[in-house]
Amino acid sequence: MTARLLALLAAPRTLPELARELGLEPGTVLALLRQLEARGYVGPAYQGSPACGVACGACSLKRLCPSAGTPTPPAPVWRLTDRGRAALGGRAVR
Amino acid sequence: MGCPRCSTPAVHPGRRLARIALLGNPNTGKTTLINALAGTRLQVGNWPGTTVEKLEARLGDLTLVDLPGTYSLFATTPEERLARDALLADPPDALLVVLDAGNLERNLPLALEATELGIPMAVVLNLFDEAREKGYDLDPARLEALLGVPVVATVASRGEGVDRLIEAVQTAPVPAPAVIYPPAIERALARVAGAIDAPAARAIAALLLAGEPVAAPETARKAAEAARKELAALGLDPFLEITGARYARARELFQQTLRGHNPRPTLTDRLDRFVLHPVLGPVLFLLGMLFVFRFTFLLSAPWVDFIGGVQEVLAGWTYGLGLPGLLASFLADGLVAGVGTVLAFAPVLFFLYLAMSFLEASGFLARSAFIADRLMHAAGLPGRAFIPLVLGFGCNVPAVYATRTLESFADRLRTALAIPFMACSARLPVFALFAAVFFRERAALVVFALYLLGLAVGLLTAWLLGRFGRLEPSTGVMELPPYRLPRARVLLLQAHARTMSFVKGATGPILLAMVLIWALLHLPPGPLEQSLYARVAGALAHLFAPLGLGDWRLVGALIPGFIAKEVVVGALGVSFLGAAPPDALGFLAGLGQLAAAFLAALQGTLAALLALFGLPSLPAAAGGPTALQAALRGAVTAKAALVYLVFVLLYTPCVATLFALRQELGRRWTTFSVGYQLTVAYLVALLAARILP
Repeated sequence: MTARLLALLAAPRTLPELARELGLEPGTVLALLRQLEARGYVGPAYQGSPACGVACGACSLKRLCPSAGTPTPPAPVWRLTDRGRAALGGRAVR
Repeated sequence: MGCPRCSTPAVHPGRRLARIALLGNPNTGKTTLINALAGTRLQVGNWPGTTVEKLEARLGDLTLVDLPGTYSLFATTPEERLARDALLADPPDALLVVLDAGNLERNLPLALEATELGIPMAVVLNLFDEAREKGYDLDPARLEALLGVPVVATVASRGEGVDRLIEAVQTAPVPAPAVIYPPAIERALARVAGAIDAPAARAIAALLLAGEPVAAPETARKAAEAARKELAALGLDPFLEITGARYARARELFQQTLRGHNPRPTLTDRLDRFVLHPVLGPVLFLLGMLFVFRFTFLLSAPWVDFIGGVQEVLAGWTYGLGLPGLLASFLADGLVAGVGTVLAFAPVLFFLYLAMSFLEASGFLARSAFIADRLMHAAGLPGRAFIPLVLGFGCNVPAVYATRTLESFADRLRTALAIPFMACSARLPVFALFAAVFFRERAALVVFALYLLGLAVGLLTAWLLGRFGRLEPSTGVMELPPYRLPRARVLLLQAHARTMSFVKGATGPILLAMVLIWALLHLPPGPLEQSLYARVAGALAHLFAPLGLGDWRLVGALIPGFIAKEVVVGALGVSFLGAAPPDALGFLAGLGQLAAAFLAALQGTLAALLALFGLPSLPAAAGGPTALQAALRGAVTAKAALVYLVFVLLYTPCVATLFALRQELGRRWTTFSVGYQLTVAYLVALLAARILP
């Protein structure tokens, strides 16, 4: 389960995407992500990303979006950290 | 009632239990459940050595203990560590694992972990009505058979199913471990658990293997270390393997327990369309904050006045005893005033805690945080930090305590150190006094600018701490629990316990500070100009000369302002105009005053309740200048007045706030806060003195 989650996070993903892929409830995935984040396996993807906040430029709904223009995307996006990548690299994905 | 479907027979049939612990995720309704079980025998306190709340109840020989909400024994927050350590260091006789039936899949991993603790346990499927409302058709009997422990479906808020719980837990067996890990992990667990002589050996072994900091025998630690190396050589990370196996098993159990799922929008979904709306949401949020602010300060004000009235009567009685002047002054102006200062905070704290507990238990607090998240992001703080900061404009003391709602210590620290810069209501009389004298038609603008300056310095402080203190903010991922109507009795109990915790702890330090200030003002006996106060103020005035504040009377008033900021005005009055002791009071006259003050407080509460739902009103315009205002006008320039206000806004908060900071952050950070604020206040005031025309 965790290995599959880490494998999915090889590319940044949102919570609903992860829940859909894993066939779990979003709340369950969030609980698992909290555990993995606290131990440094995963982290938020937006930190230090120059792409964030730019995509809102052409969107006609940006005035209604609470996150428009900020470096934080509307929904948290998760990514693998170095530790997560190392842990994933050493094992087969179930 | 027994457990007909339990695969393992009860190990101690008919045993007498002494202590039952309630374990569960946050927001599973444990507090409501313990309230439903215990009725009026509920006690609220703190876990030893912490500020984490502890709820206990006695049921005959039984003690029910509510553990802090936790997602896992692999702890990520101080509260989770507390729950884990309480279970391992002092295991209860039995466990009630409380699961949110509407979020069963997410809650089950904790129940699976609990099966490894070697403690008799029963499972509560609470909030069963919410699960049905969400469209889940669950089979508790099936879950009972799968877990091998009694499973009881309840709706604790209505008392449904609660009567079966105590019997279920009394006949509950010690469950067999419910998760089978990969063979290499199982072998390692067996080896480490073999070195631990405790019923929870498997749970402790799993924690050690995953690298969690937990108390264990040295031999077990070494065995775990060796096993971790071997597993690493096989490319296995024990934490990931163990966690993954638990979540996979939880999904299987959930799917086998689920008879059907017909999702439909709940009341929470419908309400959230308005509350989380991008335009309407912030408006509702601001109205909610305004309501909390008004609720706290409107309802507490009559009782703060009542305490002031009691203080006056006690001082009058003291002066009426015919004691020597200095002793009477010490008792009335030192001791009585000191205790009164502590008690004057109690009504504010009580009503604030009531409002905060309601917001938290009802689900509104989480949504407020969600709405404010963007604004707070600028200072690198989570949305939830907005609530304590706003409360700081009323009173810094409860605002510091309100930082408990933040998850990480880093967030609590940065918010708590920013709060003292928020201009609390006690600073307003000082602003109003000077603004009315020196800035007349621009008075409102000047006061508003001071509020903004405080907010800006506070947010800058939080940002600087994050940047240079290497304090990473939490990611801001937040869960939005469903809306619930909390039980009024639990809210009142919690508010009372939290307020008493402050009163008990703060009386000593505040009393000591008051007595010190009294000694400064009254020793040696004689005119104020010859007192220690005047000498200390005179010495400090040299330091303030670069700010254009060389008058010892202005500088001296900052010293008692350390007790409470509103005292600054009184101290200025004494310094500029002189002071007379309160009139002596006879016993009956004092009783009459007390009765009148109590009646006025009751009437004030009634009026406040009515005003609560009315529109906020502005204070009435002041009349002509008072004697103090006239004296100030003759002694201080407008520029010096503004510099003085900037310093009053930013300098060290009152002693009660410092006590709250010490309770929440510890002595080291509180000392830092004092030094930091004095420095910031001096530098900003100096800057103002240099740039103002």
